Amino acid sequence: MVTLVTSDNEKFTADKEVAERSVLIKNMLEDVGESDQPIPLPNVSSSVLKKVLEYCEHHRGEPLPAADADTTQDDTRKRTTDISEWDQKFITVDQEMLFEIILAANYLDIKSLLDVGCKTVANMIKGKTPEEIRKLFNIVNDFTPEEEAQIKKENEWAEDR
Amino acid sequence: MGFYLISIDNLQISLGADFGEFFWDEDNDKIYRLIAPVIPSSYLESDRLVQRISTTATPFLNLPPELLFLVAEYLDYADVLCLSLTCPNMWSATSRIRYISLSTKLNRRSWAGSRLICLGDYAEDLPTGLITSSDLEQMDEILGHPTIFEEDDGPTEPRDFALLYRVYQSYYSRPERFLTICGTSEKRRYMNLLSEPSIPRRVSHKWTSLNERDFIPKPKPGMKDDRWMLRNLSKKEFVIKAQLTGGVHGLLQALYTLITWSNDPGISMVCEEEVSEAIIRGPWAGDRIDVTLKSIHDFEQEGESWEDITVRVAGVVDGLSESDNWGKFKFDED
Repeated sequence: MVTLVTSDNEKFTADKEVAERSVLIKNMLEDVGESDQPIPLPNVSSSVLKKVLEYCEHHRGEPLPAADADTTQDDTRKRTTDISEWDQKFITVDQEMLFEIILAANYLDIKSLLDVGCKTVANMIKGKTPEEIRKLFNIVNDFTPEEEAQIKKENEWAEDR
Repeated sequence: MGFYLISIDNLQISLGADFGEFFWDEDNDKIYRLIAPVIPSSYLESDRLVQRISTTATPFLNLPPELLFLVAEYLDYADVLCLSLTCPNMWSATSRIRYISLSTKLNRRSWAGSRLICLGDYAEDLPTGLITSSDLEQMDEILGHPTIFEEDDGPTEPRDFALLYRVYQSYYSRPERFLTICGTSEKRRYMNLLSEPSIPRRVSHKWTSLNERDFIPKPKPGMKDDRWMLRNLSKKEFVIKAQLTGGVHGLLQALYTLITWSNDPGISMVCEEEVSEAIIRGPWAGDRIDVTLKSIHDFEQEGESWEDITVRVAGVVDGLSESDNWGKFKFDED
């Protein structure tokens, strides 16, 4: 078993096999050798680690992606945004948690979880107008009304040309 | 009898007419399709925009650039553009993503470096080694079953050329006109983006208008002897124009004389039988081909050995012009 300590000082224990789905944790364990020392994860909160461990537990035993799988510059890759049914249910969380999971997956180096998170965000964006994306992610087009009017005027002028 | 211009790697097919019907067409669209697109460096220059330090607590904008990039890899260009246009900060944060997404979009459409063949209806074989095992696997996937053919006398071993025929006739798509970079619905989407109040149109226009001619490489200033050339990347041979002022004129005809493949010499043109027989066994059929500027070629291929076959090919084209076209066409005529 491995003990993990989150940013809010909560301790989690997990099977080594489960925890080692994180390349970061795997490397840390290799570095410290056989030890009961808890592993600090200062960039992951307890609520997020709980979700991450749920993901790792579900995917326990599945082959890990090759280390260089991400470096191929083949533009045909990453076309599909298909997500398995379990992963879809797992990632149906509020936006704040979604982005926290993505950041944690990146930090912990769990490629498959990072992919699920990024695909989910991409699926949320697909086919939407900028206005719809703004609303979705609470992005404020923070011009003053005068500045916005100026841009609209400029754009209308360009349209008339 | 029809001939079909096929890009095997793009899974696309065009033409489908008698050889003599299309041979003399000045259809530069097809040649432009063979030029690797180049995005002008101005697309990488940062645009002067009013940027604000976002006071909004949106976790999306706080994603580090490398994660924004990962998300964008799953989006097509139109979606990336919509995301960019949400606010000035996002426009700036996604500038490189936008560039890469546009580059991917353009390269996916281009036939530059693709295996090309102008295949006749009466072909009974294919150039040796044209169809690879991975092509066959891909064709199986397209067809949804293994490559066994039912003939009159029962199932036979797979025949590559028949398979290619069946796949291209049923499943290969027709390429869009090259100079219309996107389809109607996509175009409509871009048009709607022009009225977005977030980014001044002077900044967003080039990203939304997508004029294909902007992405055709231009000769560098001072390159007085620059010219267009048709290259066979598989065999390292090329056909080159005498002057830049001639543009790409004649290169399409040169291409047809080199990549045509059939077993029937009927090409609907007035010419010696030995000429038509040579044309239908085109020495470049199925090879990787592109069109580029000499300056780019010299830069990319410095020290490499290439063979110039212009004289021979221009001779064939001009000879066909004499016999079939009463000399109205010259390979090196401006």
